[in-house]
Amino acid sequence: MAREQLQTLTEPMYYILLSMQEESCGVDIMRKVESISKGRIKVGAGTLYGLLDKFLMAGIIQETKVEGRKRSYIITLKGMEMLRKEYERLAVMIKDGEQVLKEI
Amino acid sequence: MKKTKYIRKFFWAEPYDIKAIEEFLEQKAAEGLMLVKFRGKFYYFEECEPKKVRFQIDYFKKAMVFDTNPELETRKYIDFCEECGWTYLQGEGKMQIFYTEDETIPPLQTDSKALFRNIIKNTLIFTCIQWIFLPLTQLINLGSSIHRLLYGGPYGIANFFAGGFDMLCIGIFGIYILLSIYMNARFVEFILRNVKRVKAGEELQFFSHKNVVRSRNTVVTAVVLMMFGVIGMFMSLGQMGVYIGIMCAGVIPVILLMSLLIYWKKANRTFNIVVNVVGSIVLCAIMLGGTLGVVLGMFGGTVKGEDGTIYITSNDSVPVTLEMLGVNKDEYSYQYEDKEVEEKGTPLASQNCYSHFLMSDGEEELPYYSMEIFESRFDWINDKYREAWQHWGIETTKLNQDVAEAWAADEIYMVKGEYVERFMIIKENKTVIIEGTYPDTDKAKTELSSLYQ
Repeated sequence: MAREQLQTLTEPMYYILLSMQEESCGVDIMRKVESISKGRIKVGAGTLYGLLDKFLMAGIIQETKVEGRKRSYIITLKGMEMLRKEYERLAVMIKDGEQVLKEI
Repeated sequence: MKKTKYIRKFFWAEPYDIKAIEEFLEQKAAEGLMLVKFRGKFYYFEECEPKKVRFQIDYFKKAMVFDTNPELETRKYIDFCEECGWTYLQGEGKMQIFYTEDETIPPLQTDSKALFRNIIKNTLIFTCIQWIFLPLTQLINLGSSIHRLLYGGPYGIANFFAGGFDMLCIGIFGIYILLSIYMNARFVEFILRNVKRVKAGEELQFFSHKNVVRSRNTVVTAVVLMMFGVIGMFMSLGQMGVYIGIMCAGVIPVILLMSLLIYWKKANRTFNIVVNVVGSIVLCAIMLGGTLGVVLGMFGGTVKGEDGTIYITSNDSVPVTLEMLGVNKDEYSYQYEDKEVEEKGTPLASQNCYSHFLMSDGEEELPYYSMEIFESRFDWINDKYREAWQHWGIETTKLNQDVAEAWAADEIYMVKGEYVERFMIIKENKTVIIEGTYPDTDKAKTELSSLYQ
């Protein structure tokens, strides 16, 4: 079920993976998502925890270190590949959209 | 160590009313009461400086309904949220309460779809017993009471208004079923309101705090009415009510002990599962014992043997023998005396029965008398009762006015059998049925008339 859900990424998932290019903890991810999306996307701690758990299970990210209560994660190669595929899919969608909309 | 005194507040909200609970807690904090802990629907506050606090309720998927202290997985989730700026307050089952004074932190759940799914799951787990399963089982009770009213014949109708048991059954179960329909309708409304919103990725729409308070008032009123009904029902049950009362008196301490144990600081998931399983078995045993007591109470009572006399209390519709009561002596070597008084009444009607059975030795016939006084201020209920007795009479004769006047009555009817004398004496709103079985009819007449006088 989890894997099936991860075949395409939702908007928050896409931004979370984008913000995990380097080792980051929960607060870092929340801040980065907000800054990359220029405040458009906000991810709550509960939602983020659920998604990170899902990503860990699917091997898209990995835990790098645990310092007391603080846990840090980074995207894996598999995750990068998935993110790239999603980027390409979105890029194709934008290109197709541009072509059609320019003609109108 | 000095025990801190908390201010306890009751707030009834269903698991899908999370915004109302948050609003309630935020209001209290603004008034200078900060939440310290909660136990079910009771919230415990401590006085503080009035402050603006944001509360958030979240359902954590991996927590279990038995959890009252966080397990490892829940602890990880709590740590994560605390790292992100939220302060953990307490959890119960899947429900977790956090708060913060920082206004910039995003809410805990920004995925409305996941939140909606969790709320529905949690609501179903917590409310399916009280608002779906139990009301369905109570439909049987409601049905049997209505059946007795509709098909019980004239005596059944009179009994219904005088006894009050079925009347209260209809009241209690009727209120409960109506309440469960109302609660389920609210839940369905919450689902329907949000299905489209979730699909569109919009925020969920919750019932407002005001709406929940209104609904809570409805629930509390219904529960109070039901409680009065239950007390009334116990009172109308007589001896059976005592058994059920004892049963409840056994159930309540067990539930209290169970809640004390599960809210213990060191209670973990395994401990709580054990407490719940063992507690449920004990509760079932008490209920079963109580039910057996009720059943036994219908079939036989106690024997007090003194100087060769045995007193038996029994239900007069069921014959009691010494064998049933476990006495291994020749039945006829005893003197039986069974006195029974049954007094019941409601504002609509009252019915008092007195009976007395006596047997000096086995050779003689069983002498007994019984007197039943029925009274109602409503003529149609009186008519039903009189109709019932006339219906049962074999050869009912109306005695002439002289006799009636001599008995200070409006009308008198009589049924005469070989050994039976039965009189129905009518005076205004009152009907007295007086009946006797005696070996000697003259003796019967004398005794019965002296009894009436």
